[in-house]
Amino acid sequence: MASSIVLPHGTYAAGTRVVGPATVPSGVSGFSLALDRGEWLAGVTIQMTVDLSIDSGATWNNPPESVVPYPLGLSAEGGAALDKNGVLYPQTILAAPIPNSGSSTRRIRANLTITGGSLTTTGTLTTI
Amino acid sequence: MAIAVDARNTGGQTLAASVTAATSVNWNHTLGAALNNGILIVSCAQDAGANSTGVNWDDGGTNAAMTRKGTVSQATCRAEIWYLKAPAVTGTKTIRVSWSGSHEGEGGSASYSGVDQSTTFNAASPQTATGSSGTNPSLGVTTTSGELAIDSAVQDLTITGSAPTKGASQTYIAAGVNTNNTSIESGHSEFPAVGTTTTMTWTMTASGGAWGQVGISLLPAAATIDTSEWRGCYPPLRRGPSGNLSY
Repeated sequence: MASSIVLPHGTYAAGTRVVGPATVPSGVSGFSLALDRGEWLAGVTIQMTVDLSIDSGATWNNPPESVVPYPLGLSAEGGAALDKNGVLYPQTILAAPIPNSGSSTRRIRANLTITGGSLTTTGTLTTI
Repeated sequence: MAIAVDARNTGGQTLAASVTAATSVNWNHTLGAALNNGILIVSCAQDAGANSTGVNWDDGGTNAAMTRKGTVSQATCRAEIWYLKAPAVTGTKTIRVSWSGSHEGEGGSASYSGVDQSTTFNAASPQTATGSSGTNPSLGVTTTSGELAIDSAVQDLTITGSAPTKGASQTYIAAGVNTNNTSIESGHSEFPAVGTTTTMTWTMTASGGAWGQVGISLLPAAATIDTSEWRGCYPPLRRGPSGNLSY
């Protein structure tokens, strides 16, 4: 398991930006992408979509396996949100499998769309 | 006409996608080009007693709302099964599961051909079971031979969980533990029916918390009768599902 900062701590204006792409090392079979929520204001929402390439970024979301669910993603909103135990969520996280674990030509990237204001956060990618 | 698998997402002991502190999760599913008598199934789970607010099959132009067929809640977790008969658009499109507020959620999807488009489900569907920590999910789904049982099981975790393991005769649609691995884990599977009860089981995290399981059974489309054999005959000859001709 390895983690890296893919979105440095900062304030990001509303709009769409691409995070990455990042190389997926051989042997990796999944990822999680976490955005810190500590400074994420109420009213600010995001739509995050993750793309997968198996040919070093030449094409995206076009793997041969029909079962691969890319692109995939989430939507989330800022403000204080509590988990089922009444504890503040520290992060919004998306996780999914990455096929072809023996390949060294895999890349992933995230498309982040921010609406409702600017977003202050840090993005961390962890491969599994 | 037998029910046939078109695609499963992921078809293994992994989830199509898993989220924490999100208001929706989405993943893509590829429908075969020739999906005769088709159905799209989404099996999902979340960390909430409340149902998800909707599941959509987005073809990029028409955002088709799917229909919830079954749901079960236990403690602070819920499992659901949604369907869309005869999807109008084939190819790769987006499945989106939405909730009210921020939640942990996850799921998978599968598509099948050969499903009865008018009487789609066994009359007993959906059926549910619930249990407490220390027991494993088990649900007897009422079926008849030729049907396809589908289940969704969720466990409310109180400790760090591990991916659920399906019963021996089931096939994974998807399964796994949430990215918040102390929240929920879920398993989603299919099982071709062989009798009047198709029992679907999961091995989940011991002492992990209470669980809920919901199951349905899909009915096969009626066999197409080849009438070319009986022209000119009276009473007419018919070719049955086995291929034999009879009056």
